[in-house]
Amino acid sequence: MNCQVVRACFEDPLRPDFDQRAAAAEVAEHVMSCAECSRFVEAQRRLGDGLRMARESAPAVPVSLDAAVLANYREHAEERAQTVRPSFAKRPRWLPVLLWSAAAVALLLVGMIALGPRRAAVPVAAKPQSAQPVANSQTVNAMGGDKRGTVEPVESRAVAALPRRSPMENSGKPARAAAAMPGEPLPASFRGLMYCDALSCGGAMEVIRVQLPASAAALAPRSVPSGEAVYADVLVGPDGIARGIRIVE
Amino acid sequence: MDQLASRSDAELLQLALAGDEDAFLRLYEKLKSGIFRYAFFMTSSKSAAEEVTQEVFLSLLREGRKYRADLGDVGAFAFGIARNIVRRVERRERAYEPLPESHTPEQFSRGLVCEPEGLPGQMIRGELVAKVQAAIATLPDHYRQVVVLCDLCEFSYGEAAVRLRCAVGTIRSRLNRAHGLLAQKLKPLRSPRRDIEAAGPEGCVV
Repeated sequence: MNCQVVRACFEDPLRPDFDQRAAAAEVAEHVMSCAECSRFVEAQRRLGDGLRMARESAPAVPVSLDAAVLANYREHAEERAQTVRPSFAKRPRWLPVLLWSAAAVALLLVGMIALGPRRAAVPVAAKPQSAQPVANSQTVNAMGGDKRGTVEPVESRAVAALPRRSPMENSGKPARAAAAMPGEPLPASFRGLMYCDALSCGGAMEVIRVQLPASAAALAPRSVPSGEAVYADVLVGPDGIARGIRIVE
Repeated sequence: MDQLASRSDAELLQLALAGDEDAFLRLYEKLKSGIFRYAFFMTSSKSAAEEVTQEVFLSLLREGRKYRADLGDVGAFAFGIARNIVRRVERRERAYEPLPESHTPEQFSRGLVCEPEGLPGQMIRGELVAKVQAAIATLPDHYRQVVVLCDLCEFSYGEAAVRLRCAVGTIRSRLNRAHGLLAQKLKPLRSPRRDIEAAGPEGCVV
């Protein structure tokens, strides 16, 4: 028997490999001869006494507590009985699912409308004026070059404020759009603004005269200063998209 | 009531939640002592222990449907609730320094009336108990929980392990370290038995 064994006996007396009764005599003998272990055992005994007295000092559960807990239970049971709703008044379980689904579908529709494919933006300068009643507008059949009328100068709002230069054709005579060559999608004098063939550019087109800054029109004659405006005929398809342009000299 | 004797705590709880008052009383009788003692030793206050016990059973009624049998028995569930409420009470009462209940005039006069081991013995015993309780109160929380459960509430290591949700070995080692700390804190104390014997029947009281 040594000091470590004695301490282990007191620190964990319930451990399975330790027989307290069998070791009691040896422990007592060692404690009598070892001052350190004697102090340790005395401290443990004091602690054990203190804990036992503290344990015994606990008051019994008061009767008033029993009554209070029972009263709480009855009150709770009564409240619960009052708050139970009849079954028909309950909200159906599928209702929230339906509401959330409807909200999701609505959100999806709004998203599709807002972010869906849009019509291609029409250049400001080539804004079709066909919606306005233009009496003398000239309509050109791109495929056949069929003239249906004359073209009146139509000023673009965006460039109306620019200093203008009077075109030669603007002296009372209406400008005429050149006829398209047979088999060609655009009249010969027009420069194409987009890919245009017999399949993609079918149908009648309108010629609209607009006013552009010279710098914006790449085909403007070099004699025109870049700060001034020039007139141009724009071929606009039935879908409102400009197909070709021609600078009016 | 006899039919309820064979019911498990979980079944009693279900019945109590369904409105069976007898089942609730049965469950209350089984659990009240442990919870009250735990609350008393953790708070060192009888009134706080009553408050905690009452709150625990009220919470059992309100939150009892959340009980899951696979996580432990109803006692452990109730103990978990008690532990939370005790912490709440401790936080609330931390600002105040309560008068030890063993030193109240009521306790003192009771000691004068019934004195099985004499008045000096009562006083010394009360003083020692107060010191032990004060020493326990200064322990770190995880040591204090183990001392209160195993030494004061007389739970087995296994029961304490279930209630504190840790291994039995952890309980043992914590208890061992807690005992070491307590022995150091109580070192200046003289042996109470020797004091009682030394005081004798004619020991000076005042």
